[in-house]
Amino acid sequence: MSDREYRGKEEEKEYEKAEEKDSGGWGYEKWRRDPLSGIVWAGILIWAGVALLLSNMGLLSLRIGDNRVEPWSIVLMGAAVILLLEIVVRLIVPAYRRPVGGTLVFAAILFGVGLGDILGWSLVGPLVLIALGLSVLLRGFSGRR
Amino acid sequence: MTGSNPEATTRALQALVQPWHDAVENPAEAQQEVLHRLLQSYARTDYGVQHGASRIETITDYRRAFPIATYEDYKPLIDRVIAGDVRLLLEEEPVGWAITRGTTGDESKFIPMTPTDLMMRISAGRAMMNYVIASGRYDLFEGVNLNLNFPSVVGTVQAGEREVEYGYSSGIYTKHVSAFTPIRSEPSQEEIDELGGGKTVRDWEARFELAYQKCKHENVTLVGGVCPTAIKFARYLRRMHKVYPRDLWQTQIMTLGSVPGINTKYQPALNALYGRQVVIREIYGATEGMFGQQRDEKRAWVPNYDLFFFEVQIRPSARLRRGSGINMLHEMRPGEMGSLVVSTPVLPRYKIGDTILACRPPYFRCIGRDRWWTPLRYAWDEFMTFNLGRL
Repeated sequence: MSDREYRGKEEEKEYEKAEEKDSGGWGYEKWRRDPLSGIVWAGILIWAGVALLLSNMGLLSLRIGDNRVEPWSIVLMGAAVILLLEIVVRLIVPAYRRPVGGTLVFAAILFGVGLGDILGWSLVGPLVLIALGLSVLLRGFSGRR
Repeated sequence: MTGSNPEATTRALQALVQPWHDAVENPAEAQQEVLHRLLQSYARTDYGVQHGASRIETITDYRRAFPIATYEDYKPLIDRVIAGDVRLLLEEEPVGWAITRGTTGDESKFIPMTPTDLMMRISAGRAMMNYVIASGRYDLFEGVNLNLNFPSVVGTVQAGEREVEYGYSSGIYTKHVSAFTPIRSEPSQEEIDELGGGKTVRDWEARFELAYQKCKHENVTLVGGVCPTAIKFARYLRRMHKVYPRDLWQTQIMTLGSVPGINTKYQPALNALYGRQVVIREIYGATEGMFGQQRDEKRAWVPNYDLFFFEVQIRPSARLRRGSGINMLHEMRPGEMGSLVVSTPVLPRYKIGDTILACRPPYFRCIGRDRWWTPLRYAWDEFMTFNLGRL
């Protein structure tokens, strides 16, 4: 620090702890905090950890017909469900509203990859492509708003 | 300016935006004029004299004479200006000192605001003015501007024998220029300043409550300022008063800055909170100046080529193709990215630390700070919002 002294030094420390610490004046502070995104990604990581832990402990075993569902498939499908929940929250709560098209596509991809092991890629792969195509079509018809 | 005399209002507004439009039509010529004007100003400072400002004729000469400088490079000079050596960097006494929490770790950045600089910031209103001219919505001036600015005085800094007040540039600007703006701001900047310069949650809620009490019986037609603050204010209203801004006011336009993605990521929330009818317009600026604003429905901003001199340090991948590290902003090709270098009346060739993406001319986006992951983050956001680069 230079030879300056800040009169508001205690205030500066308080500022560091404050919720708005990344907000600035008329500045292009690159504030990006979105609480919901943080919760969603934390939730996905926690879900992945819990699912893998339970699977490794032999406590998580899922079968569809004769097929055992691999732990990673469960993780991916669970992540897709969390993303779908995020979409619902964003559509319901005005302050958290964001475009959700990409999230929907990403959830579909995760679900498709998760299902691929169970249903077979020859079935899931084309379905994911169809879903992607429909998303692009829908976006084109709906316009920007 | 009022809604009762549209012709006179249009002429007044045109006078403020036409220089911008003219400069955008011919940015090369406009930038030459700006450089010439800035050099005359620099020549009246010690820093400018040291770098031979009065002898510079061309952009090449300017680049050779003045180095690109970050805030860290300017900091020793700014410290001396605060201590009283005004002529070192400025040709006129500052009217205030603006603080910003930039990328210098824990230490605040101080930027002097001069009278010339202050009047240039009226360009922050260009997005609104352009909207009024294009839409004919002169009734906007019969409402009020919701003032959620930061305080113009936050504290004092001791430098040598002097004690200098500092605050946020938006507050300083409003305090000095509000008498000349065509729309009344509520609450006034003086009322905001009376609440003090604190930045805790409680301090902000006090400002939000003041804004609500002053505006609840008015019609807020304009909301300008920091995008996250506008969203936080709406959430505060909902929590404390069980209303959203859309329930109270018929807002016409929001001119917002401070984060990337205002018209992509944040637009749905802004319309949900303030009303589906609200037009969102992005402004791009910093404590150092207001550098550009959205001109039309294209979701990117257009530089104030008539006010500042813009250069870009293009990214290495583009540099391999272009063969040069520094280009004029208006020479960027669509899809190119680079770090913005801007010359203001106060700071020659100032590297502000923002990464700029060129869309099709004359549109640009600031996608974040100069970090290696910024383009990746931008690409991810474009995918997750399903915007996919649309303008």
